[in-house]
Amino acid sequence: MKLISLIALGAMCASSASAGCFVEYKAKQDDPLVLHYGFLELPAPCPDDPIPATADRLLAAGWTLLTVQSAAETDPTPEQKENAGDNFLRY
Amino acid sequence: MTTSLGTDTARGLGRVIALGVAAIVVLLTVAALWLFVTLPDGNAFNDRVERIFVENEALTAQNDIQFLEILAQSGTAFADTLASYRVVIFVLLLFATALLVATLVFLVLLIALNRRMAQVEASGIQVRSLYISRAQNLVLLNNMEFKLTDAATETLAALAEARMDGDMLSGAELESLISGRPTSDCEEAAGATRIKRLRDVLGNQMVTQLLIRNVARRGYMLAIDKDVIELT
Repeated sequence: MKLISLIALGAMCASSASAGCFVEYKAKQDDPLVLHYGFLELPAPCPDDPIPATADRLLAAGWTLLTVQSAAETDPTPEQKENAGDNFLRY
Repeated sequence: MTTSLGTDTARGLGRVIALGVAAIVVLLTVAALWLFVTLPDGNAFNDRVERIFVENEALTAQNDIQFLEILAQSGTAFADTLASYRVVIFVLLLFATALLVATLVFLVLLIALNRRMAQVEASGIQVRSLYISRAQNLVLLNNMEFKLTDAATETLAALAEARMDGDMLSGAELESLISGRPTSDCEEAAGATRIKRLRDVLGNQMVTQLLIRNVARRGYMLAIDKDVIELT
């Protein structure tokens, strides 16, 4: 059990260490209204306009993109990761 | 003429009713439309919450997001309540329309009835139906039965036929109609005598004076609407 979580942590670290483009976004689902804050990773380098790629990726999962707050190749802060929770790199 | 005046006022009242009902229906339809357009729909609350979420960049904590979602849900629940209110208000508007229309119709009917009562009082007798049976020498006036002589029935029938054609009969013409001789051979006095006998035989002088009008130098005419006469 410990081993598995360690491996998962390791994989997470590896993925963040790969320095993709981290897009911080807000999205929603209608009827009933569900709001969603999260991060997703686009291949580096960051595109000038990350909105279309992000919107496509979220729409495939059934979410409507509301806004992109930031897009950077640096790792998000621990506080951002905590706020995103399950939605950190989910889509 | 009182009769043409009566139909004119009736037509005027009909127009008043039609215009009034149309005005009421238009007014309340506009009110109902305004009601449906201006009341916010359920998505108004969701849109507002969504805008708050997007506009505040710091609003990213999971607790905050859950709180916003709950806010949106309670807003939607309130919007459902509003929708039911809207139906209730609409039903009340329908009732108001019906009541206003009924009020208008009754008001107009009351006015018409008052005018008609005034007319009846003014004319003294209002003949609603005149039924003349030549075979039985019988006259039914407003369902009152009068038994006449042959000659009186003939005179009354001749007058009734002339009235239905809208004609006036002079004494000579009346005599010629009944006797079958040419008008030039008939005397004015003979017709006048027939009228007198008819009035006598009908008995009630006042009623018959009202029933048979004598216009000076023109002749005699039944003072009733030609639509109510029925001859067999």
